[in-house]
Amino acid sequence: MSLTVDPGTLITEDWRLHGSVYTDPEIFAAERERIFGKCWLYVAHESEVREPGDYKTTFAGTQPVIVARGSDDGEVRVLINRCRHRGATVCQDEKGSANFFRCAYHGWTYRNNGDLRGITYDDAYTTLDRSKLGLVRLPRVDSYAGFIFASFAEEGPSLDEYLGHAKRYLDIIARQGPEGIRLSAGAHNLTYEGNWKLQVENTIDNYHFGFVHRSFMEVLAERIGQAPPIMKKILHDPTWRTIDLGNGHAVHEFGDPETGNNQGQLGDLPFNLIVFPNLCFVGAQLRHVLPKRANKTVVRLYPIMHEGESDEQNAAILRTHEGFYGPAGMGGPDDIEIAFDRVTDGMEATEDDWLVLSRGLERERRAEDGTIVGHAADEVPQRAFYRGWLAAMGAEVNR
Amino acid sequence: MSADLAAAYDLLVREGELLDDRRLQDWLALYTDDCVYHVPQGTGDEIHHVQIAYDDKRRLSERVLRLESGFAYSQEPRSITVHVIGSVRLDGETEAGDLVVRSSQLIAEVRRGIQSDYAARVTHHLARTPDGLRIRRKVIRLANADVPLGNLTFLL
Repeated sequence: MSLTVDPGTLITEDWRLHGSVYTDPEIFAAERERIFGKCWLYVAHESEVREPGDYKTTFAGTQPVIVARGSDDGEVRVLINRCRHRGATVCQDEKGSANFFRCAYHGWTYRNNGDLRGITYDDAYTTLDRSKLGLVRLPRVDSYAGFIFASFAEEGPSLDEYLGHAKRYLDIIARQGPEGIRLSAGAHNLTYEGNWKLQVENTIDNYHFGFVHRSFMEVLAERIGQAPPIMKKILHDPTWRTIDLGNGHAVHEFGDPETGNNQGQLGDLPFNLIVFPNLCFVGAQLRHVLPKRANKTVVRLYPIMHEGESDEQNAAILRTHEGFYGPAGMGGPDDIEIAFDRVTDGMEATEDDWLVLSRGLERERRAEDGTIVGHAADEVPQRAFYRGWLAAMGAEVNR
Repeated sequence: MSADLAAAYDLLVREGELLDDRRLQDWLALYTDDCVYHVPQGTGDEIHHVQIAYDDKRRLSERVLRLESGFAYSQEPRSITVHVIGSVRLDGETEAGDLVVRSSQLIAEVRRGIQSDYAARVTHHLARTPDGLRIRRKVIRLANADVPLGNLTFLL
């Protein structure tokens, strides 16, 4: 897909961002190809496909896939959920266990490793090469700390190289429960009429918290009998840091990344993390951002359950999560209203179509390991994301 | 219509009207201190599965506090709602002697110029108290509970 605009011109050297990045269908089409067609994409956690035959349907970026653990060999594959005959999805359930996927349209059947097993009434085909008509497999699948990723690109950096400095944080998330974690509690499903990047940026934006979530701060004050400490921490605690981890990934630490806590009663993950392009961790959840169109997004929030803890302890994680997040939460919907809906409304105005992403630019500093560290309420993570975006879109990253 | 059914019907209609009028403190007073307000997702198993809401009285009070704080932006502008309550029938009693009342409800909501219709099968457990019937449990099974949703921050 050729873009008529050079993506490098959409972000200025002083970190202004052009509004068309959120609204232009042509840019969205280029993202599908250059970002979601090439990067490593999160698809599942291993707890969701634990046994041979287990599968989960989801999206690798924008494309419907089945993440299936082979019945015969136990290998995890990511299969495109589209019959090779006339294109219908072959698996409808969110999750389950199956040896075969059978298309309901004309009965073509596939093994759960993707191989075409049978064509109905197949005497009508004489030259068809069945070996080339299995469900399309994503060429690369790998996992790190239990998180399964796949890529549409045959070649490119290994998952290990791609995750880079983000690996340390995924390791910590994988240790949240005494015996690990599992995604067994389903997910909140959200949708909004706005661009997918708004959700990723907002996941790791401390600057907004006291403004957008002022009503939740009042709830918190009532709960704890005093003004909540979170805003003071964000503005003044030097151990609360934002870090550009490279490759588009970023973290916001609440003190020690092993033991920190945002003290906002949002869930007990010790940091917020984004893994480029569309995987986020915040509160006590894994957040999977699914782009649909330039102005339509679906978001799935999977509460992270702790292996080795009781039902009661895990139910408490769910109740805390529901208090802030999900369609009826006391926090998340305020983000949808302001950070997505009102931003999308504002983007209708294109007279001076530039946003400002330079907060804290002069005071961020490069650490010895190459990461870039800034204050808690600075826009280091947003710049980290857009450095990754520029690189993936094929622009020079010199800012 | 039995006296129990008539009383239950009156309470459900009153609850819907208080919500539509946004008289939230009066609405909250309809609930017992040990109440549960449940908007299920999935099978409704709140121990093992995330729910849209599984509130005790404290959480419900927090919702009301938030909605009345003036800063609940997901309700600015507020949702205008109309509760249409039908098919109200009694379905026995709980072990504690609460009336089990089932109804079908259509909650029309208008916000940001968009009308959304939420259809729900609703179960109330109504406690008989000296002040009349009070809600010990309300379960709102939305027809669209498991599809991607937008903003459900108004009260159902």
